[in-house]
Amino acid sequence: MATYYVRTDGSDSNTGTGPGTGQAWLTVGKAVSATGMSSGDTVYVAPGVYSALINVLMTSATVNTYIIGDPKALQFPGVTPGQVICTNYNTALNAAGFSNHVITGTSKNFMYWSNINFKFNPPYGINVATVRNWTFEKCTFSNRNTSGSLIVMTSPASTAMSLTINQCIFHGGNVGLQLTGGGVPDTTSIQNSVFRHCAQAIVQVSCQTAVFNCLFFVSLFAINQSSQSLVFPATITNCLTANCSNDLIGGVTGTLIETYNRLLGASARSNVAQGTGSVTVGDIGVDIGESLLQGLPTIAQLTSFLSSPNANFGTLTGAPVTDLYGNAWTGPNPDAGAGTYKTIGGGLLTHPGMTGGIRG
Amino acid sequence: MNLQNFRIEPNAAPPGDWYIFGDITDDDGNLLGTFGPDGTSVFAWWVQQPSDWQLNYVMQFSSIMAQQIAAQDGG
Repeated sequence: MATYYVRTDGSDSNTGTGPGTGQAWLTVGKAVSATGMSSGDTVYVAPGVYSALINVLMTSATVNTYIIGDPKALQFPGVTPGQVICTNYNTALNAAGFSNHVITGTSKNFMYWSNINFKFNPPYGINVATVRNWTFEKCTFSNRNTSGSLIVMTSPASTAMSLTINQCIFHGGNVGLQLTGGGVPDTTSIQNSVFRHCAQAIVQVSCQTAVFNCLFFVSLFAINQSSQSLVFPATITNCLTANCSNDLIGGVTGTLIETYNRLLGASARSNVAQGTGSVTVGDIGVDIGESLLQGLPTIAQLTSFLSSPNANFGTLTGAPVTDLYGNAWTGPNPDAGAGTYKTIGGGLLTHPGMTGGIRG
Repeated sequence: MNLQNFRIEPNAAPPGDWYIFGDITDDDGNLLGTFGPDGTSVFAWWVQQPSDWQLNYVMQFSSIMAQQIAAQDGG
């Protein structure tokens, strides 16, 4: 398994096999091209803004193939830490860059992305077709309005998508995560993630998903589902939804099973039966800036404040053991939502989940 | 509040209208209301709402319409 490097002052004419300017590649697109990585390889991406199409053209992987943002520049001596940004804006992020999705690909499997911030000039996003076994971990996806979707993904026909979304933040766009599955049992997992200001957070068609400990602050639907199976229903557990017109929409009652959720939107469930341990009334229970505003011990926005009704609300069964930021739940059971109460030392940018290494 | 047996069907005449069907229940499953056995027409319901309420939603529509118009004009 080879290791490669990308940095903003590299060159796609380089070999990519070292972190220096004379060795590293210039673009992420090169790393996933037909002349880039092979299945199982890893590429580290240095801090900076990458404004170029990432068209996955490499021979489809058969095991996880890693594209890892390195915001702390641990792999790049001398490089200043900072965000790793992939975008279709220009590199200054103040005007349009190129008119296409940021990631495209067809029939390319086992792509594992982490620690990358995707900033989309609408209506573009990530748009991949007939793929499976992709992972996004500790990534963010943002769009400044409600035109276009952040991630659009389809699985191969009659095949599980097996997508993993872990510790990610989705912001804006029409749909945060638009999945069309194969209409078969699926291990797709979406957990410890935040969906905010998306017109619709998750739209899933024929795709069995297991959603755990997510926070949904959206304008229309948290989960909008159709063509799901009664035999292998989708599930949503330990989640917090608010500011939605409709929280959960199932195509037919029994195809979306909800338990231990705090569903605080105007209409909690449409064609979804009330599940064990769920409630539909109460405060949102997360910090909206008050701790910093009023000089209290600072916590990350959208995490549970002290004595929050979200604390210890969920069920342990099947739940992630830590929250969005890698913190253990403060109570014996998980919170509802994505973030538990945890004071921040040394400033808002502290990211406890990052201290154990790049892959966390 | 929950919606059960919920579905939306297009109305052929006039085109562009929609009928909403379903039962409105509380968390204990008690029936709070329904959209009626023949559903509720969006058009018919819309015109019954106060004008200031309508204006609020038209304002929201305006930006969506503008985006669509600009996208068409821009090819």
